[in-house]
Parts: sequence; structure tokens; C-alpha cells
Amino acid sequence: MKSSQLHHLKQSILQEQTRRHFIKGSFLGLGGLAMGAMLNGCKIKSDSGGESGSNAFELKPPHFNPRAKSVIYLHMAGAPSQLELFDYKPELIKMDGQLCPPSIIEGKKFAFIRGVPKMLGTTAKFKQHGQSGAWISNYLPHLQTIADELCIIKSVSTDQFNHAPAQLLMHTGSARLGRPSIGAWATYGLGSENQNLPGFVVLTSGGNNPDAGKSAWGSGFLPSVYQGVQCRSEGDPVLFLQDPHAVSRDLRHASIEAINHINQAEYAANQDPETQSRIQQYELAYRMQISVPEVMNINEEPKYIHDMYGTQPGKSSFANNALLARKLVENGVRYVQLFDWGWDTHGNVAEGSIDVGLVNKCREIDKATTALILDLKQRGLLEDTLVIWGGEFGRTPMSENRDGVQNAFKGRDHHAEAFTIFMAGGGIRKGYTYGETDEIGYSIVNGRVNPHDIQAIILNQLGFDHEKLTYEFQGRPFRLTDVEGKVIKELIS
Amino acid sequence: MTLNMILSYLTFKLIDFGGDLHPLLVHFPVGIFSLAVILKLMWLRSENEIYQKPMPFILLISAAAGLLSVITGLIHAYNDEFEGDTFNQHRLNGITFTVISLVLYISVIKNRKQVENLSWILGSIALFITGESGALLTHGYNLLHPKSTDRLELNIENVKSATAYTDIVRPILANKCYSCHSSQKQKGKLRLDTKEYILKGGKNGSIVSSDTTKESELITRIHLPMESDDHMPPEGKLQLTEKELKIISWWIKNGADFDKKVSAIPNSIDIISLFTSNDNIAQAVIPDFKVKALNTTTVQTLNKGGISVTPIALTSNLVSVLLNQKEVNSDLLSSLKNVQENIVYLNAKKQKCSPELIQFITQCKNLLRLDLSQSSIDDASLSKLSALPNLNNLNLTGTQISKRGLSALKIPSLKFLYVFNTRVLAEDFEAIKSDFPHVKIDSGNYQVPILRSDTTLYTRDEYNKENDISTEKVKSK
Repeated sequence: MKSSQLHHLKQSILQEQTRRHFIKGSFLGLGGLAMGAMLNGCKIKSDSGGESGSNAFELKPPHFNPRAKSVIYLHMAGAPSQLELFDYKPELIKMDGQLCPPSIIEGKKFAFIRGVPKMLGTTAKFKQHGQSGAWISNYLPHLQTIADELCIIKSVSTDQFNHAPAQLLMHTGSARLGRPSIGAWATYGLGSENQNLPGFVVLTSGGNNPDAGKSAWGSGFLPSVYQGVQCRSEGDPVLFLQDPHAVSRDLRHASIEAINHINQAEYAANQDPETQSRIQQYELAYRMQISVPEVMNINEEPKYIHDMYGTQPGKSSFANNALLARKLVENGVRYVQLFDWGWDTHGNVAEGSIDVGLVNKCREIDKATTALILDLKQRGLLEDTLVIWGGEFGRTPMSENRDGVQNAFKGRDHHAEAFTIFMAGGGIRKGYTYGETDEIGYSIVNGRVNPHDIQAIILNQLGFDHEKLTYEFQGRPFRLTDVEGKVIKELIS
Repeated sequence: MTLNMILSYLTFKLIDFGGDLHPLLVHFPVGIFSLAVILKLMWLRSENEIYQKPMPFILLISAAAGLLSVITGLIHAYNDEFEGDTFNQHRLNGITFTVISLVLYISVIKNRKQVENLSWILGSIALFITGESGALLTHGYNLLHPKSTDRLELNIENVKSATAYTDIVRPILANKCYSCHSSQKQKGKLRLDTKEYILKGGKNGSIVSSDTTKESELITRIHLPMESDDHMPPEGKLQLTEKELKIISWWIKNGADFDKKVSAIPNSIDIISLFTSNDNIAQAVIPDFKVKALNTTTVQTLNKGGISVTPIALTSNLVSVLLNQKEVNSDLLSSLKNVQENIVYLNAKKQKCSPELIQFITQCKNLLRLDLSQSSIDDASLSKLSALPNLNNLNLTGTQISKRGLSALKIPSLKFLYVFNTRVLAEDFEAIKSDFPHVKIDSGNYQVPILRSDTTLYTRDEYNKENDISTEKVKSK
């Protein structure tokens, strides 16, 4: 009797449950699940201790004994032509003016080439240089003299043929936005030697920022203290760094302390790590007020240094940035990123031609790049400073015919399949040329190197196993090289 | 109609299943017949009834199991396309055994002593041969006949001069593929044990192709997901490793050459780099100094005092010390003494070199690298560094040292010396170089000459002149 009443009761309770109850219940459940995931994403894992302590740039040991302490990455934004500078292709010169064999372009996509383009041989004069016999063209007469310092990699290949995604891939390991850049990873992993300067400095020249914009030196999901600090090479290096008129340094210090006090209370209440970032940025900015103008001032450099780099104080130029890069590294900055804009030589305008415009771009950087490497060397800095020079992709062996019409000047389209970069210092093999392309320089026949491989090598030289430098975000560990990247040991001395 | 289809499907499935059962069923006749042999031997010893009585029954089951094994075996062979000498031997002896065990059973019942004795011997031999060849078919030659000679150990040094096929590719095939694709078995009519057979391919045609646009069947198969029926090696067999996959794919894609050395085949750099100890890292050698563990409180005190003490690697007790251009007071210096033997790198850049500091530095016996650039070190204190037994890299750029100080410096372990921007005169370098015969001395003062082209703008006219293109020519173009 009793059991049947209980059964009846259960039945009636179940009947009370309507479809609305079910949906309501489901929402709460699903919402909870989603919230859990979101909160998890917010939580910053501080296994490396960087952001939890008072100082994000405190020096931290890498995985193993490093070969390099600092990195100077010289990025020629717009992509310089490997066929005019390093990758000598006599066969292509013979084919100059002929129609491109269909087998080469069949099924391939180009940024601007349409239909059947003509082959384009170079007019640059190539010669082998140094004991290593590296091929460097007459576009770079100064670099030719230090061929034996360089490790030239002729077989770099990317999978992006537009500037912004290719630059992002090169510097963040992903063609899409939102990942931390190499400099952010490096400062996150190692900290920085100089607490009065940003650990990661970005300098641009050539009149424009790179197409990828600030994302190319962003911190992605890493705490934002690790993003690159862009310094201007003309006027104030960092805007709004000077104290306002009639505000003394003491007053400034007091006000920053007051602000930080409020921020500390805010952090204690809400535990948002970005508040910590903000506190540290205020403090860094205060210290930078003295140290940045000092280090960014090239006027004090002796004349022979200016002659060496070809610098003109007060002007915005790649040469000035190169000299600044040396000064920054000398003062313990971890990662210096230079972008020089204007290498996109399509041949649609005179400045963008491979026979005239490119020569002028080379003239802007040749002497300064050479001087930078030699200057680092004579100061004993080159052995632990890794210098990398390159673009985001290469240029086609074919002449560009935008929309099927031959361009007005000699120019080449974007080419993702093969291009050349070089490295120097930082434990990289000297006087060595790695990899080769086919006889017209279209594709790689030996030693393919991907952007992730370059990143793996950079991290390796800084003492990191690129597979182990990770950061927990959105429920999984992320790394710079994603699921790829290999350290090419032949490139390491 | 439908019923027929279901029935035929079931029959088909059953046949298929029957084939798979063969490797299981074969163990019955082996076990049961062996039992009969044991009983027979026991009977020969003691002539006890107990051994004789179950004999007919056991022999009947043995014969039946043998028959079942033969039937499933033939289905198995039909399904999986077995061929070759070993298989023929296995089949012949399997059938022979079954026939003999039937004869044996009858002879026991009918009490034909001569036939029975002969059958015992012949049956045992046939069973043994069947078992042996069967095991060879299933597990491959290498399991039963392990090779005595070890394979060549390849590393990054010798791999370049190794022959790609003989030294690298064939051992992989032998290890992972021969059990089904060689002289013993030719599943899918494919053999991989000689050049001719590899080039010939299997029942679906060639497996390696010089036509690079068409992917080789072999590469496709080994890269298929495990779930796919066409995946090779089949589920349950020893799988190819990542490295082996890369090697096989590289070898086939680059022409499947049987004679060339590794370095003579395109893209060999990628493969050579596989033959190293650790695929992820290439690290600088850390000297093997035996030092005591770091005292964390000391490190914290020093870090708070503005001196950065950082282990050179996560698991290392050796440290890199950065003095941060701060004057090192006696308190900090005494703390620093607690980690003195741990210091391998010391950055004293722009440092004011007090006699105490110099004294401290000279006692860092494990110091490998010392940066005194732009510091206040002078000739007198420089000579004291001669006490450092392990120092190999010394940076004196931007200091006041001169030839006199350098000539008093005697560090046998020194390898790199930087003296740019000091009071060392250019004409002294030859003499200094002879003082340090094994040291790479960088005196700097590199010049990058000023070329006319550095500051001028290149123009089209200039280009035309250089390339001998007259204006008319340009116009006519």
C-alpha cells in the first residue's frame, strides 16, 4: 500500500516537470560549463613566476646553457628579392623575357600575376665572396666584405603570400592575430638584464609600419608587459615620457606611487593580472624617463661610429635604428626588432622596381647592417647576440604582370615557396650557406626551412627547447612553434 | 531473395572468419597430437591400461582438429594470397599430417601394428615441419632466426656517407615489412626484399614512381590512419616510427635510388638531421664543474641588493652573475662569496673595480667568461687575473688597459680576448698577438668604407648607362 503511494507521488512529481523546466535546467548546466571554460581561460598560470612576482623582467634561467643572450631581428618589410641579392640563377638570366613554362605556374596562386608571365633574369652582378664563397650581388657591396661572418639560408619557405599574414607567421608563429611574438616569448622566458629599459624594443624605418602592424610585436595571451615597446627614432623616442611642464621628478614619483597604491588595492580586490601589468608599466615608464633618452641618444657616439653606420642624428633612418639596436643590446635589452619598410618591389612604380628602386633600398641598409655586425663583433657582443636579416617571403622568378598586363618597371610578385635570409653571431655557424633552390629559384630542392624552424632555432640559441617553452591559455599549453619547428643543427656552430 | 542475400553474406562472412580462425585452430592438432605421443611413450614404458584406453578418442579429435585446420588454412591462404616455398611446404605438410593422423586412428582401432608405428613417426615429422613453416609465415624469418651481426649504428657523422638503400632503407623494410612482403609471404603479390621486386610493385601496380606528381602507393599506405584497412603495416604489427616514415618517404620521393649515398640524394639535409641524439636541442657544452648546490637565501639577498644571480640553465648549479653597474659593497661581496665557486659567467660591465672586487674575481676558480668592458680596471689589477685557471673569454673593451697590462696577463686557458677601444695602440697588436699565440684577439676598429653609392640615389639614367642601354633602345622597346 505504502509503496504504491510512493510510486504515485513520484509520478506526480515527474508530471510537474514541464519542457520549460527542462530547458531552464539545461541552460544553467550549459552556462556553467561555458563559464568554467571561460574562467579557466582567464586564469593565468604562473609556473614561470614571471607575472606573479613584483617584477616581470626578473632574470630567469632557460632550459639549457644558452648560446645567445640577445636577438636583433632586422626585418625588411615588403619582402626583398632573393634573386637580386643572394640566390644567383644564371639559368634564369638565360631565360629572361621568355614566357613562363606552364608546368611551373599550373595550379599555383599568386598575389598579382595573372595568365602567363615572362621570366625575369636579374641585372644584378653576382660574385662569390669570402673564404666561404657565398654568393652576394653588387647590390650589397658592404655586406660582401663580411660574407664569412654570415650564415645564409637560401631555402626558407612560408605558406603565406600576403604581407601581413606572412609577417605574423614569421614573428608569432601563426598567420592569424593573437599569438605572442618571438620577443614576447623571449622576455617572458628569460626576463631582461636592464630593469630600466623595456626588454623588447621595436624600431621602424622606411616611412611606414609593417603591414602586420603592432600585432607583429604583440604579447598575445602572454601578460601585456611582454609586448614590444615601439620607440621612435626621431624626436622623443617614447611619446609622452617627459614630465609635464613644472612637474618635478619628485612630484612625478609621488603621483606614480599614489596611482600604484590605488592599483594595488584594485588588484587585491579583483586579482586581475592586467592590473599588475599596469603597475609595472607605470614603474617602468618612470625609470625609462631617465634611461631611454640616454640610450636612445646617438649624438654622443664618436664620429668614426657615425661614419661606420652612415648615421645622421636627428633623422629617421634604418642606419640610426641599427646603431640604436647595438646600444640597446649593449645595455642589456633582450630582443630588438627592426622593421624597414619599402621592399615590396612589384615593378608597378619606379621606386618599386628591382633594377633601380631595390638598389636604393639596399643602399639604405647595406652599410648599416654591415656596420652593426662588425660593431657588435669588436665589442665582444656578437658571440651572444643573434642577428637575423630577412623578409616575410621571397619574390617570383617571373616578371609581374598585374592583371595580365606587363608592369611598367621590372618587378617581381610575392613568392612564398623560396627565399633567402641570413643570420650572424649568437652561436650560429659562420661563413656557411645552407639549402638550395632549383635552377630558376622557384622552389626548394634541398634543406627546406619554415618560419617555425627559424623560431625553433632562435629559441634554441636563447637556451630553450621550443617544445617546452609553453604558456597555459584557454585550457591548453601554447608554444611559439605551435606543433612544428625543428632545430637545424647544421646551422649551429 | 533477401534471405538468399543474407545467407550468402553470412556464408561469405563465415568463410572470411574461418580464415582468420586458422592461426588459432592450428594449436589444437599440435597440442592434442603431442598428448597422444606422450601417452604412447608412457604406454611403451609401463604398458599400463590407463595410457592405452583414451588413445582412439584422442587420435580422433586430433584428426578432426587437423581437418578443421586444413580447411580454415586453405581459406586463409585464399583470402590473404599466400605464395612461395614456405607456404607450399606448410600446406603440403599440413594435409599430410591430417591424412596420417586419420590413418593412425584407423590403424589403432583395427590394431594394425606396423602401419600404426610408421604413422606415429611420419605424423610427428609432418607436424613439426608444419608448425615450423607456419610460425615462419606468421612471425617472419627474423623472429625464429635472429641475426648475429648488429646493424650499423648510424649517427650524424657517418650517415652522410652511408648508402641510402642498403644502410638505412633496407633495414627498416626488413624489420617492419619483410614478414609479409618477402620470400616467405607476398601479401598483395608484393615483395620488398630486392631491388627488382620493389620496382615491380604489387597487384595494384608499382609502389615507387619516378613521377613526382603522383604519390607512391607505399607512401600513401604507410601514412593512412591506423583505422584504415589499407594502412601498412597492418594493425597489430610493429609500426613504423616517425623517423622511419620520414626516411622512407624521402627516399621514394627523391627517386628511390638503390646505389647512391645519402648525401647524393636531394633534400638529404632534412634526413641527416634525424640522425642526432636529441631532435629538439643543440646546446652549448657546460663544463663539468663539481660545485655545491645554490643557497637560495643568498641568491635572494643578492638579487635584492641589485646583483642578478641566475642559474645558467634550469637544472644547473652554475650561475651567471650580473653586477648591474652598482657598486658592490662589502656586505654584498661577502654574500657573493657564498656562490663564488658556482660563478661561470661574470658581467662586470661599467663596474667600478675596487681592489676588493678584483680580489674576489681572482678567486672565482670556475669563471669561464668575464666581461669587464667599460669598467675602471687598470693595468695593475689586470695582471692579477692571471690567477684564473679556467677563464676562456675576456672582454676588456672600452677600458684604460694598455700593452703593459696585457703583457703581464698570463692565462693559459684563454681563447677569446677583446681589446677594442682601449689604450692598446695599433702598432702594439703584432707584439700582443705573439704574446697570446692561441688566443683569438679582436682589436676591433673595423672600417666600413664610405662609398659614393652609400649616400646617392640610384637613377634610371645611371642604370641605363651601366647596362649600356641607350635612350633610343629603351624607347624602341
